[in-house]
Amino acid sequence: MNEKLLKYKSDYIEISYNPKTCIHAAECVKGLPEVFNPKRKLWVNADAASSDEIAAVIRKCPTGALKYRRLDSGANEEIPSESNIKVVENGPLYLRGNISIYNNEGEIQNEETRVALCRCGRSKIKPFCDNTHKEINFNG
Amino acid sequence: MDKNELNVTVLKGGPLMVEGACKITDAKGETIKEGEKVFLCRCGASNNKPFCDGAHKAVEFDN
Repeated sequence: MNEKLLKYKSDYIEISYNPKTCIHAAECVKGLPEVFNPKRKLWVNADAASSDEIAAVIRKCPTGALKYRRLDSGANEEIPSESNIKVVENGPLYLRGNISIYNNEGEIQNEETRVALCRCGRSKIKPFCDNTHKEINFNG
Repeated sequence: MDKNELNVTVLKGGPLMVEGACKITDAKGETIKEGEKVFLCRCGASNNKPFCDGAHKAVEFDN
């Protein structure tokens, strides 16, 4: 899911955003509303907080829709030392770790540190979650 | 494999096969299962969610 990434940058950090995989978990909006404000025309303002603060909030994004690349001397995102799979009630799986996603033929498709995978069976971007579980009132 | 490695295979018409030291937790953070290989429901129809119970065949899950 690396196509159509939107990019926003300051002199210190480049933020990339994948609108297809964003399911509005809103960790970014809650964490740094001055940077991430969906009501603004340019919804990301990379100059509105320090690069450390922005990086810390992006690491909370459960879907990996937000990523960053440091343009200053700060460290880029580390792979978590332990993996975890969280089952979201009536929603997707949130995976964290050194994640490799393969297709049925065993060919690698994606490498991620954070990703949300469909559990309701109805996403249009399977295996990723696209929030369709809400429309169909997925129960599980 | 390192303990942070998760290899996820999307099985055609079936579940996710997850290999690696995986700890599965519920929304409250309580551990549901720890294992080295698990099959997780992807079709939405399992009666043993989050695990696969073969229901994808009955519902003819086709992705």
